[in-house]
Amino acid sequence: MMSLLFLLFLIAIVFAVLGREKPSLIAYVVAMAVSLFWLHHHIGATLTIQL
Amino acid sequence: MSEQHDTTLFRNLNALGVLAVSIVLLTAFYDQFTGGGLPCPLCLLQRIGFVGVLVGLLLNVIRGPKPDHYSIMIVSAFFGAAAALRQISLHIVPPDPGYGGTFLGYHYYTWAFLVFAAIILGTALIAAYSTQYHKQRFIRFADQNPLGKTAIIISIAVVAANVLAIFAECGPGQCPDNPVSYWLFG
Repeated sequence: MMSLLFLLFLIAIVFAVLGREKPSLIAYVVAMAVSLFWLHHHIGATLTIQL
Repeated sequence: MSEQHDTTLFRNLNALGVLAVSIVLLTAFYDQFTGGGLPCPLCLLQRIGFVGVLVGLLLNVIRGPKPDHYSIMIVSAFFGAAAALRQISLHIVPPDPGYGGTFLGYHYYTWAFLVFAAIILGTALIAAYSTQYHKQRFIRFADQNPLGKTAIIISIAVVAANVLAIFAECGPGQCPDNPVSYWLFG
């Protein structure tokens, strides 16, 4: 799952190199949204233990 | 200074930024393979922050500096800083020895937080120079100067290597909280 996330960022970079800005931004936004979910998952899990 | 010189200067500054962030990711790689410490999920999220900064920097190198590219850098650095700060807070209470190796007395996640803070500050300052946004054009890889070409090749190689290394560590599923061995090698 985490490697797929990096793959999405790699796709964003390859689109950027090809000059395709919009697909690059779309790949970046999707990857960032999944990353935020991942971060929230970790913080949420730790808070549950503390509470 | 002419607008064309301004554009070239800021493209080159962004290419140098790409190289700097790539060195950070390569340092993490070096520690992973020589120090024996496997990156935890929070460590990988910090790497994602750096890779996100790379996307913004590369867009500036290839398409020319634009405010939305700088926004990508700041958002990514903010995300990485949040992950780093989360990891610092997990290990801040003594006698917790912290996670992983150290560099010049600080753990890597502490360095990551400092670098992300520097990226946010530096990007906010550089983005304020409005003359860099004039007369932008797409420069394809073949027409990039040697600095631009080097930055593009190194960044793609570093991110591709991360894809492979993280697949070897975690496989297709979720990464373990305290990884001790590579999933791919049993």
